[in-house]
Amino acid sequence: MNSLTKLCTNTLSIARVLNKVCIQVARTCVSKTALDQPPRWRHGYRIRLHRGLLPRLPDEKTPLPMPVYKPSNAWAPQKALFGQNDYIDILGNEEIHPVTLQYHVPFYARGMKGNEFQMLLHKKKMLGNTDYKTLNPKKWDMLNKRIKYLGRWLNRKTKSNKTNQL
Amino acid sequence: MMQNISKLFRNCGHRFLLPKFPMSTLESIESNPLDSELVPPSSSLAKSLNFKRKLESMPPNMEPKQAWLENLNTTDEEKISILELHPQVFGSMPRIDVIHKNVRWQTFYGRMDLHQAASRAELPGGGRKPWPQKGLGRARHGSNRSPLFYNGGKSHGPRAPKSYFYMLPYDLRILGLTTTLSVKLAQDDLHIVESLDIPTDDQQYIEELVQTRMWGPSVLFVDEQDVMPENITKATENIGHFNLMPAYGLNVFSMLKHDTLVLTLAALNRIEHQLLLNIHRNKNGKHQFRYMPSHH
Repeated sequence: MNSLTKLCTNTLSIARVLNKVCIQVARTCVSKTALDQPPRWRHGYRIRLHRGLLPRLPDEKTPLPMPVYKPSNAWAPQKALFGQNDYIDILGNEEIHPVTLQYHVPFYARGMKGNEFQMLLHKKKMLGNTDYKTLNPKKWDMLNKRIKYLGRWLNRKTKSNKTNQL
Repeated sequence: MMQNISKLFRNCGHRFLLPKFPMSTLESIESNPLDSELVPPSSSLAKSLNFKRKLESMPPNMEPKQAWLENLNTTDEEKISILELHPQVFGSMPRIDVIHKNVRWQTFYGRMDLHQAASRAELPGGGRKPWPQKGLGRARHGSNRSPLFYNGGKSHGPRAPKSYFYMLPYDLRILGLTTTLSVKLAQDDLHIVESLDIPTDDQQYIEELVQTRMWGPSVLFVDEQDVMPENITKATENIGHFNLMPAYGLNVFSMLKHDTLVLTLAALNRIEHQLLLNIHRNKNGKHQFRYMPSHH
């Protein structure tokens, strides 16, 4: 009885005791092995532990975790010299096309513009001559899959380009 | 605002003749109160008034534009001589629409969107039918990765690679350069300098120089070759708004971003020569300026 009274002081333990008593196990009852763990209810529900105002330090007025706004530097090296060498074929060596200096653009898309289907076809042609297929087999397969799908979709599900019929 | 624009047109257009600087007498320069503050009566001025720049392919009906040749040796500006500039390059009509087109082209032609939302075919799994077609009372589904499902594929999301590449017509790019140079000259934002040699590599020297001469907050120094003198590179290294650029790197965007444009004499010669060459050359209908990406 002493052990029981100790247990009864805690409300949780009362539930455990009651559960221990009911031996006939229905699906919703807690199993014997899970008695030591806290009871689970609303499984998968994300409990919102923090409600109300956002957390903040006692001294500062700015709340956490929003960072303090820092404006971007307009004169950072890349931004300051943006557009340099775009007229290199006029003012410099005329054999250099300015698009070849766009190093941030992947080589398979340089100087190319089109809809998704056209871009992917071009990409396949450019990458086909490299060892992309052996290095990235899944990406190569996905590329082909998408090309196939788009070809089918464009031909069967969309209208052709409208032309001015004179 | 409208007065400023009309002033701009007045200064730029080659049809409107500016009053010439009287080269023979110094009196008329001193009589103008503004000029007398800037031009100290020195012997070097009289010596170099004979300095003449040869302008190539000058049409007979056009008058050359004029600008001062200045120095960078001292913080106060010293006007060494008067230079003649080609009107087709520095006196063309200010085409603001052409400037806009050039700026837009520069911002967009290298832009590339590489972000992609995975479609239902690209996501792992999704091959099995999640639950039987009939009997459960649930909606019928064929795949866990359909766009209807949480964590499923995106049907019409961004698809990489997406490019905004296009090329402006060649002549429009040339026109953009000539127009911006004309605008810079007309708005007193263009300064021509003998060379970019400065006496010290002190950062303060350059800052003082720009401040005393009342050049814009941001300055673009342009020289002919890409190797610049040591002192100026050290002085402007830590200042973001003072930038050095070779002549072949000049572009409309940078000229607009920086308030003041400072050209060396060598850079001026190079730029003028290249622009005039490309304005007047016969292209013979060749597609020499078209980029053809090769598949080999």
